Amino acid sequence: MTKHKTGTREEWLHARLDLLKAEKELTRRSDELAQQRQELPWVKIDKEYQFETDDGKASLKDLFRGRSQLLVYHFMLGPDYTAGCPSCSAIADGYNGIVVHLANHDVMFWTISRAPLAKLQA
Amino acid sequence: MKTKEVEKKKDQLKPPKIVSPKEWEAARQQLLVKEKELTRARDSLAAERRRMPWAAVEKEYKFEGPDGKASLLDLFDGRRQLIIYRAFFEPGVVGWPDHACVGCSMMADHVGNLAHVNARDTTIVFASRAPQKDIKRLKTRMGWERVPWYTITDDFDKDFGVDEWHGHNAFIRDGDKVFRTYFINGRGDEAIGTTWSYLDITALGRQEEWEDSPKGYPQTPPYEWWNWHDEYGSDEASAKVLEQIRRGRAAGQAGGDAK
Repeated sequence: MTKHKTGTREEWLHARLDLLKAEKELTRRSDELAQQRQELPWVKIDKEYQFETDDGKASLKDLFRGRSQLLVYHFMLGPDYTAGCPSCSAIADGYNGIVVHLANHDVMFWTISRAPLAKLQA
Repeated sequence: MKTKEVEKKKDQLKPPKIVSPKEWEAARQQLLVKEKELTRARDSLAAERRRMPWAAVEKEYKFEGPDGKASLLDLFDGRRQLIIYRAFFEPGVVGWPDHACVGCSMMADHVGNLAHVNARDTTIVFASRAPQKDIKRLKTRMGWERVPWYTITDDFDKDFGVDEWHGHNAFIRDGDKVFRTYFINGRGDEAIGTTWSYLDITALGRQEEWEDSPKGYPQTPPYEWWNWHDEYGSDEASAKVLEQIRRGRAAGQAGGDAK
């Protein structure tokens, strides 16, 4: 690895404050995009979908569990897979702890796959 | 927000515009352009972070860890990079001694399996002023056993801008010499918690080939370094992952978004 530029505490702080403007700009831009997502039109879902869950059969509406919003993450695990796809597994490693916060904010979160339930529970 | 307040808010929503799947897809495609722009903007900000000067840490800091006293260097746990999240858990903080501060606790809930970040030669730790016995109890009760959590015993919090508010400090070491590379706090902390968000605040980034990094930085192809968290170090599993990723990229699944 090449020698990286070093600086004093003051020089470092100066560079960070410069970059902080760009950091804040990105945060605002990200907020703006989220606002535009909220303004997207909605599509009515007329088809009846059926899922298998720990608590038996469930319709898409059932997955909401009484909340007004639903997030569904498709985790690639087919019937012939011996393990979940590595990138989906890495993503799943990160979201276990946040589901309770979403559920208490009127958003239900589910992970779905094509594999039979027995395989998901194993 | 309480359920009643949510219900009230919902009543005030302006009626959504309902469209056909085709119209929705067209609207989504339009927004996708902006989504990708934002992703690129985030990538280039991370590239600028990697060009920050490094500030040498000259002072000797002492922490208490589960195994006794530890220096800042010890916190690296042998890896090249270190991120310290300052969590407020100590007398005087709301919730003490049962809970850490509510925001800091939510941050801890976001910490997933650290094997992925560790695989990029980076260690993540939490630091608070509470004694180790309280930290141990808290970790067990809240399910945060995997998070290495140290006790601050000196001016570390004051010197690194986290004596009054939470924040992430990023460090790198060159042998035994430690440098502070970056600092994220305030709303910047909201975006932290995934493997990628952690790596994006480090001096070396995700260490992937597509990144705009200074010459000579360690870089490998994207996707291919990932593994199942319990299979890092296994050649057999790595070969399996590689085969699957390459098949996916050939089919245009993963590769298309990497550009």
